[in-house]
This record gives sequence, C-alpha cells and structure tokens, in this order.
Amino acid sequence: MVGEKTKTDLVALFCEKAEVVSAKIYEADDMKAAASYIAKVVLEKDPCELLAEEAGTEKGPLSKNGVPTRLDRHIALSGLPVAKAKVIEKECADQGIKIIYDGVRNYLAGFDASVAEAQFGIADSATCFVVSDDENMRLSTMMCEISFLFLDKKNIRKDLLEVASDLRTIQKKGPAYTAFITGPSRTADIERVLAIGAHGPLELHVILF
Amino acid sequence: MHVVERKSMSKYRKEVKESLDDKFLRKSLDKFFTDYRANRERIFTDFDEKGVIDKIAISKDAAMSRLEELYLQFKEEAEKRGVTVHRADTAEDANAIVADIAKKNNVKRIAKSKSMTTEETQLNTYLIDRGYDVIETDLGEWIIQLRGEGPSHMVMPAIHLSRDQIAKDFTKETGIEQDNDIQRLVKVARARLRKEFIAADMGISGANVAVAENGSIATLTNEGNARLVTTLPKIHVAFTGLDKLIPTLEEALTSMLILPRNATAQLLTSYVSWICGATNSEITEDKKRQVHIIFVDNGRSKVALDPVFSEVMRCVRCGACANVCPVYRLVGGHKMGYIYIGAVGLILTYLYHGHDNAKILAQNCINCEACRTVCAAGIDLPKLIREVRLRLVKEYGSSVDRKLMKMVMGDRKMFHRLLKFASYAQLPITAGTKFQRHLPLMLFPSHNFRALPAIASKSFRDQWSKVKPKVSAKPKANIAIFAGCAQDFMYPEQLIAALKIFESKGVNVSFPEDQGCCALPLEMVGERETVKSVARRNMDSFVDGNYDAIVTLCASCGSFLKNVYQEIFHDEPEYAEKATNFSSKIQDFSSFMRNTLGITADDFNKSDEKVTYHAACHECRGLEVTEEPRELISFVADYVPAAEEDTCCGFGGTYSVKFADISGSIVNRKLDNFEATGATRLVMDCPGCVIQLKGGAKKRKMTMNVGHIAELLAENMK
Repeated sequence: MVGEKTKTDLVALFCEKAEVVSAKIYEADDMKAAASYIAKVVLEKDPCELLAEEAGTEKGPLSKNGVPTRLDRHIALSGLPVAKAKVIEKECADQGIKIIYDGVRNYLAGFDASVAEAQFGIADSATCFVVSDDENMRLSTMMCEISFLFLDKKNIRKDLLEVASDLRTIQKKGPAYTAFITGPSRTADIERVLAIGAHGPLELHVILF
Repeated sequence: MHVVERKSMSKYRKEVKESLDDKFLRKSLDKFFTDYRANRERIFTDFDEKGVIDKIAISKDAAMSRLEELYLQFKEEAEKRGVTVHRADTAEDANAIVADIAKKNNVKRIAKSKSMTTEETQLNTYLIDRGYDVIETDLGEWIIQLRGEGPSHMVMPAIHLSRDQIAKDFTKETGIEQDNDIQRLVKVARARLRKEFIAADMGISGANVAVAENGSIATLTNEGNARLVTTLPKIHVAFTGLDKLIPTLEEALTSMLILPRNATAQLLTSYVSWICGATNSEITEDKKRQVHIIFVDNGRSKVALDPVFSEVMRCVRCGACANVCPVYRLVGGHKMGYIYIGAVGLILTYLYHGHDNAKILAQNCINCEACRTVCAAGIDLPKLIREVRLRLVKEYGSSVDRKLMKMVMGDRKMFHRLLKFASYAQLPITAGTKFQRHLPLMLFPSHNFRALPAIASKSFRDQWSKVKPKVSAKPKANIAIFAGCAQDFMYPEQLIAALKIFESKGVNVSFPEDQGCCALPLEMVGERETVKSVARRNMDSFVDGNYDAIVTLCASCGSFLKNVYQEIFHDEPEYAEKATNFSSKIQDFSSFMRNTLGITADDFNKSDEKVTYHAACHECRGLEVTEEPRELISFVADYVPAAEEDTCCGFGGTYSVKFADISGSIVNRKLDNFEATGATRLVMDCPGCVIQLKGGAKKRKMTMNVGHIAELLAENMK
C-alpha cells in the first residue's frame, strides 16, 4: 500500500517534470471546475487554424501564420465517459463552444481542443498513460490545438517499469492501442531549436483530480 | 539520392575536405558536440546509468541468442490479434512485400513516419519507382526528402542544414516566399503535411521494439507523426529489423529508459505509441484496421550468431556514438556512414551494405573510444570496428604499405634497425633539432599541421645500461618498464624522467630488452596474425621476472596491453593464461605513482607554474584513470583545467597520416582550448598525444611547454 506521503511526493514530482516538458497542470476540485477551466482556455485561445480543405467549412480570417481559421470553437470529447462529457457539454453550450463526439474525420483540418482521460501517470517523466483504442479518440487528441488530459492523482506511478503490468493487463483484453504522452507535440529538427506543435497539439494541459 | 564516394580513398578524402570547409556544418556540429555532453550529463544525474545499460545488454544478448524462437512467438501472438506478420530475407524482399500490400489494396499515397530500416532498404526509392506517392512526415526526414538527400544523423536527419537552406527549400515546395524563422518554418511543415496525412491510404512506421510475449510494437516520436500514420490511413505497415525483438514488456520499457535520454537528453519522447493487434477503423468495410508488420533480416539472423558481431544487434539507434565522435563532429553524417551513421554506422555498413562500401569508411575511426562510454546498450564499438578491419584484411588482403608495415613491425630487430638508421638518415631534415624541419616527401602536403618529432639520436634501449636506476636493498616495488616505440625511439627523456623518480623512491626497475612494439598500430590496420606474434614475444620477454607491476608511460600501449591482449588470445589456452597474468600487471605511470607508490604532495616542491592537462583517450577511457594524473599535477603546480580535456587530440597513430586534414582540425581546436587556459605548460600520460600536441603547438609557434607528466614531476621532486 502506497502511503499518503509517497502519493503526495509523486504528484509533486509529476508537476515538477511537467514543467520541463512544457505541459501545463491544473488541479481541479471537481468536474465542474475542470469544465469551466477548459471552456475558459478554449475561449481565450487564438482561433483554430484550418490546415487543410474541409468540405462545407467556412473560412475565417487568416492566422498569424497566414492560415485561414475556423469560425466556431470546437471541443472533441471522443471516448470520454458520458457523465464527464455531459458536464463539459453543458458548460460549453453556455459559452457557444461546439462539441464533437465522433466523426472526427470530418474535422481533420483541425479544431480547438480535445478532452480525454489518462488511466495512469508516470511521475518521473510527467507522462500520461492513455488508452487509445478508439480511432476517434486517437484522432481527436492529435487534430486539436490544445489537448486536455484528465488524470486521477491516485493513479500516478513512479516510473516506466511500474506501468509494465498495467500495460500488460490492458493489452490482454484484445487489440489495443496505448499511448504514453509526455507534453505537447514537438520537434527540434531545424538547427536543434525546440519548436512546440509539430503535427499534434500545440499545448497539453493535464487536469489533476 | 546522392551517394558519398566510398570506394576510392583519394575521392573520399576530397569529400571529407568539403565537409571540413563547410562553415555552417562545422559551427553547428561543434555546438551540438558540446551541448550534447552537457545535456547528457544533466539527464543522467541521479540515474543508475551503468546498471540499466548492463541490463539492456544482457537482455538483448539473450534475446538475440533465441531470435528464431522470439520471432515465431511474436508472429503467433500478433496474428492472434489480427495482424499479418511478414519476414523478409533481403532488403529487396522487404520492399517487395510493401509494394505487394499497396498493390492489393489499390494504394496510391503513402505517409511515413521515421524508420531507419526503410532507409536501410531504400524503400522510398523502390516505391516511388513503382508509381507510389511516398511522403516522409517526420520534419527532418521530410526536409531531406525534399532535397533528395539521405539522413546525416539517425535521430536528427537534417542536422547538417541551416534554417536559410530549409527556408529556400520550403519556398520552392510551397511556392510562397518563406523567411528563416524556425517556429514559422515548423508551422509551414505542419500545414503542408496535414494534407498528406489526410490523403494517405497507407501509413508506414518503424518500430523501436517488438515484444514477443504479446506481439506488440512501440514507436517513439516527438512530433506525434507515428500516432497519425498509424491511425489516419486504413492500412498500417510497420517496417522493422529482426533485432528489435525482445521477450517482455519490462525489457522493452527498460530500453525506453535509456533511448530518449541518450538520444536527445529527454526523459521520454512526447509520444510512445503501443500497438498490440489490429484496432478498429471507421473507414474499412469490416471496421478493422489492416495492420502488417514486416521483419527485415538483411543479414541480421547471421549477425546474431556471429561470435563477435552479435553484440551490434543490441543497438537501439539512439545516435549517441555519433554525438561524441570527434570525427563525426568534423565531417558530419554524410561522410561517416552509408545509411547508418557514426561508430555503429561503420559496423552496420560492413554488415548490411556490402564490404566494398565499408572498405574506406571503416578506416575513418580514430579509436578514441568515446563512443564505447556512451553506448545505450554497452556495445564495445571500437572493438567491433577493429573486427571489421580485421575481416576486410582477410577478405581483400593487405595493401602494399601495410604489407611493408607488417613485415617491418612484425620483426622487432628489423624494425629497430630501421629506426636507428632513420635517426642518422633524418639529419638533413632535422638539422640536429628535435623536429623534422621538412617533411619527408612521401607524406602529403596536408600533413603540415604539425612538426614531426625527430628520431632520438640514442634510443632508450641504447641508453638503458647508463640510465638504469641503482638497485635498492629494500625495494618498495619491483617493476619492469614497457617502453613502447614512441618513448623508446622518440622521447627517451620521458622514461628517463620517470626513472629518476623511481630511483629516489626505491623502486627496482628492469627493462626486458626483447620487448618491442605493443602492436596497437598493427591491430588498427587489421593485421591480427602479426599482432599475435608480436604480442606473444612481448609477453614471453616479461614472463621470467617476478614483477609487482609492468609500468608503461604510454596510455595507448597500456590500454592495449591490458585490454586487448586477453581478448585476442581467448582461444589459445597457453597464451590466454599468460595474457591474463601479463594484463593484470600492467599499470600506467600516474596510477602506479599514486596508488602503488602512494606519492603525495609531500614528495614535491610545489611551484606556481600554471599547468593544464590533456586526458589521453586510452588513459581516461581505455584505462579509466582520471583522478590520479590531475592530483599529481596539483601536487607540483597550479593545475588549470581546460575545456574538453578528455576529447581526443586527433593523433590515432596512422590515422593522423591517413586523414591528416581531420587530425589537423582536431588538434587545432584542442590547442585553442589549452591556449585559453593561460597555462604555460601542458602535460599528458601518452607520448602519442605528445607527438600530436607538441608538434601542433610548434607549428602554431605557441610558447607552451608540451610534454609528459613524468617530466613535470621529475623536475619538481624534493
């Protein structure tokens, strides 16, 4: 049994390492607080860039990168448990943010945000262990500009080897796509200069419960 | 694709020269070299580096010894989960399997994430020739694809390019003028490649590990492109080598503790994608994704059984062996590999890309051993490079100059007579100074980066009877000297300085005169049989004396005698035992002084002379001696550390003759660093490095006194 003290240490370590990998941490008191945090971040961000042609989608003003933008704000909740999704949906409805549940392939040019759950955390590297079997969920976490991942503090482990048996159990259940996600998408392929937001999200927010 | 000339030494030298003249490449790799070392040190703080590396080495070795069994297990497990597993004997077969899958599924566009194995088989060219649109989605890979180049680093394929060059390429590709702001350029690629992800009907990825227990694979990326190419298109083909097979998830995860740390000084890459079976897909008829895993053999199953080379199968492709290589730092990846880059690249070129392609490349290793100390899987890369040279000699025979070298150096008496003759014959070129004034004609003009030392008028062996220390009645130690050629014939004064100290400390010294060259230069050119005969004679000449230690003032000899003699006689029982015994007695001068004689500050007068130190490769890495020489310097003088003390000086014996331009560039940077310390004296534990650094300093007209640590100590004895 992991003691209370150790658990607090792991959370602190996770938060410390998150900073190293440019992941943002938000500690939420409850689902309602998380939903309003998400809505706030989405409303305050720049409009989403449309990186490809999308049939029937109206193009907004050009972004600072000279790319057309999406007029409405969208959050994808693919794969999120219904109870949690409902809370976010309600918050978003009040703020005029649209929700995508499935059919993410219709939004491949990009959208503002996605919310998904991490099953475990790995404190040593601020890694989120994310079951990604569902194609829509996988796409939603990649095509968004901001990825929000929920993580229960109780499920934070120390290092990679401590998730070996969890990974094995999950992979036993049948075909499985599992991801370790550590910070937003990044590259240093040009002159070794770090650039955040290569192909996937430009920001990763881990919301701790 | 532009292929670097590797079949003619003179053309290869010309290409190397081009790299040396590429100012951007030099500046960029220089910065990378120093940044990497600092970042690596930081990321491994509070981490059991050696313990984890040993674990990986053991588990990979065990895995490779039962490769066939693991493959069958993987195949069974993966196919149970709806994946099709293929095995290809050759690169051509592997490429054909992909083309076949593409044809059957009416594929037109293919998006790829990074896979070195597809570089190995030249898959892109194969598919493009057959009419497929193939696009690399890793930013670095895409950039070099646009330019029609191969990767110049396994992890950072476009490290040789500047933002200006890339901005030009992107301008051409997009038809829109792009400025050189890196953040903007990344966004240009993001937008451009998004369309490719969407349009692709097949995704090709690599796999960093393939886990036999449940048929899962994992890929590590930072950009997240592997997660996209394995999700968006209806077909996913994973293309990987048989060497990626590992029995369990725990072992796979253990390798992930090292790979990102060693590759890019990251705790973990942004994405690790585990694929275990065929998951759902919205766009296929049966709602199942089509997943294929292709295992490329291309010589691997044979290598796995090779008693020496099997070790290379541990490689996790982190690129660290290039990151610390002083030669890579100067010439870049295009001149230091065929497909695979760096130290492991020299070996894999030989194993996977034909011996003809490896012949010249394999010569471009200076044997500084820096790669060995950072390898994520503990591969003894310098040993394997020596093995490549050995086998090339077996296959192609010795070149004319090597035959001469073998003949001369294999016969101690002939070698020594020749050196003695040289000491007279050189008079016209040294004019009686300690340097040769004009280079012998046989050397190329580019060898002019250093003044070459003269052969001493009287060798150490010829002076022995006169300089031999008095025998002590109650000796503190009873030792024998292993002189080595450089000190015996060029710098006998270094040995004589040591004798002065030994005598005053009551050490009885012998000098078995039948000893000769340690044979390292012969080993470096792959002449193993001559190495063995020289080594046997050396060991026999010391066998009768009951010495407490065999002390050498040459780190290169020391490291070779201590580490390699045992290795080469492992299958010759009589000499295996002799080698174990002989090697156990070998001690370098500094360790002997500190650890056996217990020399302390009290033995010296301390001056305020500013002295800096060059840590010879074979002292700090070969013999793993780092503290002792620095302590000794601080006993007698004001020790001022220099930047990159433990980076190779560029000598490498015959290397400095073969690749004079590289050797000259290395020594000049070393001398810049020493000059920056403000020290008036530079010392080291290796006469080979003295040849290089003293000669380089002389050429630059530096006033710094360059010599062996023994001379500094002898001058300051109480």
